[in-house]
Amino acid sequence: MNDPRAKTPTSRIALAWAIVLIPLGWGVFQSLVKSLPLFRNTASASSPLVPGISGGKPN
Amino acid sequence: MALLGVLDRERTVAPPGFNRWLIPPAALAVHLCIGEVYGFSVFNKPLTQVIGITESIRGRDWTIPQLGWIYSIALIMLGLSAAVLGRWVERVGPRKTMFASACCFGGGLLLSSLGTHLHNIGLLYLGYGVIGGIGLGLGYIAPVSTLVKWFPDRPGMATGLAIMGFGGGALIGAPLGVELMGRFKSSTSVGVEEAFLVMGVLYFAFMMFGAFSVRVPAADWTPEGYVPTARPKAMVTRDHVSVDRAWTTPQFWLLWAVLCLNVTAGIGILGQASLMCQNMFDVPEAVGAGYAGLLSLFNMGGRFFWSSTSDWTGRKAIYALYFLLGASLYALVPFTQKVHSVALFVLVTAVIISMYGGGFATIPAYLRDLFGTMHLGAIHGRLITAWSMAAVLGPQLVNYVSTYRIEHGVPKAEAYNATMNLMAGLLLVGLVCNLLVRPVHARHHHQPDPQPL
Repeated sequence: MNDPRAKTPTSRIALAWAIVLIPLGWGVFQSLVKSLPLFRNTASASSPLVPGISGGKPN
Repeated sequence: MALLGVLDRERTVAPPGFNRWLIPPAALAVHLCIGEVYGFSVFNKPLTQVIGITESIRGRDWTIPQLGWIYSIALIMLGLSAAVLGRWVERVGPRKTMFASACCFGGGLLLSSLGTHLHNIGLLYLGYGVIGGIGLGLGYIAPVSTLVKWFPDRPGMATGLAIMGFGGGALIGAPLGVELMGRFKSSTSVGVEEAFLVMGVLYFAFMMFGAFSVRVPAADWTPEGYVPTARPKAMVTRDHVSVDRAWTTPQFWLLWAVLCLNVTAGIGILGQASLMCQNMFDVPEAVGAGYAGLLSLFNMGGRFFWSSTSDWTGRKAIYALYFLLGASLYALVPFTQKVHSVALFVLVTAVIISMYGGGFATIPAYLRDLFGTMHLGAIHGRLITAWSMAAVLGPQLVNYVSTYRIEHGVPKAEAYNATMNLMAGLLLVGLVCNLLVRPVHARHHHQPDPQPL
């Protein structure tokens, strides 16, 4: 169905994806940085997945 | 007028050899911009200090309830414009719609900048709320039916990619707004006016990239090597239903309820994430904010993951999973609080939020399965009113139930448990609605005219 003589250049496709993925990647990075305190907090608990052992401050 | 001719649907038909993988970035360019609305809350506090600069001056500066209307009007206009303008979107095609969306959204931000400069809240309601909200509605539905037509073999993945962009928009918009306000902040300005101005121009330019990249496939185009199955699946039609017929069918209203209940259950957590985590586990504010950030990532990722998965499982099965697993996980949240496991709480709610995002992203493909592609954008537009309804219902439910319990002596840490059980119940109602969905009766199918429209 497609005309092989007029295929879209791969570089054009890569550029189009880069234009949207770069800002999205920046946003994802910013969110990960923002969520770091959460990981530090849960990692500080000895075994947060075990029932009865706190992942945060005791109530 | 010559410029406007470039926007016509006929001028956007893709030439032979055009690669369909150029369409998702075009759709993402628009959705990443309009998704900024989810991050609007970063402007709330600075907007309450436009006059006082370092602090809010009572009686002269705007209040949070006044500012809350900007976001609410924008979401209401999103639903209304998608519902009312859906047919126009189908007629003029994705490029003109994306162009109109960019003008409205970018223009709305510029008007909001002027409103901040003049300290006129009405201009913010009109700019970001009404005009920007119309831009949201147009931009949200613009690429959906085009993507489905380009990816008949993977419609869930295609729409998941675009709608993932709407979730991702908040991840960009919120830190960008904070960054810009920080740059422009001075002894005479909180930086919001300048931030709105820069964002208006930036977002307009970015959306133009989407508008001028998008193409519609030629009428006889099919993907290379794609052979439709001889016998389509029971829940997938090859016929088409017009928008006016579609919304008279029980299937439309069942899917409306499915979307509304799924969104109500998810948005209740998402809107209160930081505060809920702090209250339930007594963690510091920074940890609560980190939790909210992590949920945003799962909200975005779930849109792509679950919607893509639905291409394999079928739409009805994946929604059954969202509702069944979602209800079970909601019921598990009080247990995580009881054993005081933050990690388990984060894991459970992250999966719930991923399915909330998945529910948004899978609905266009579900509509396509039931109603075909002829008026898909318009039908999707009308269904989005369910989202507007849920955006009001969800946060109200969480707020009301948790506040009521705290006022009646329930400790803060346990006040959310009843809300979680309520959300689980809502999801079970959604499950019933989903199970009731059957293929649309043939009497609703569109009969082609002898002459082309």
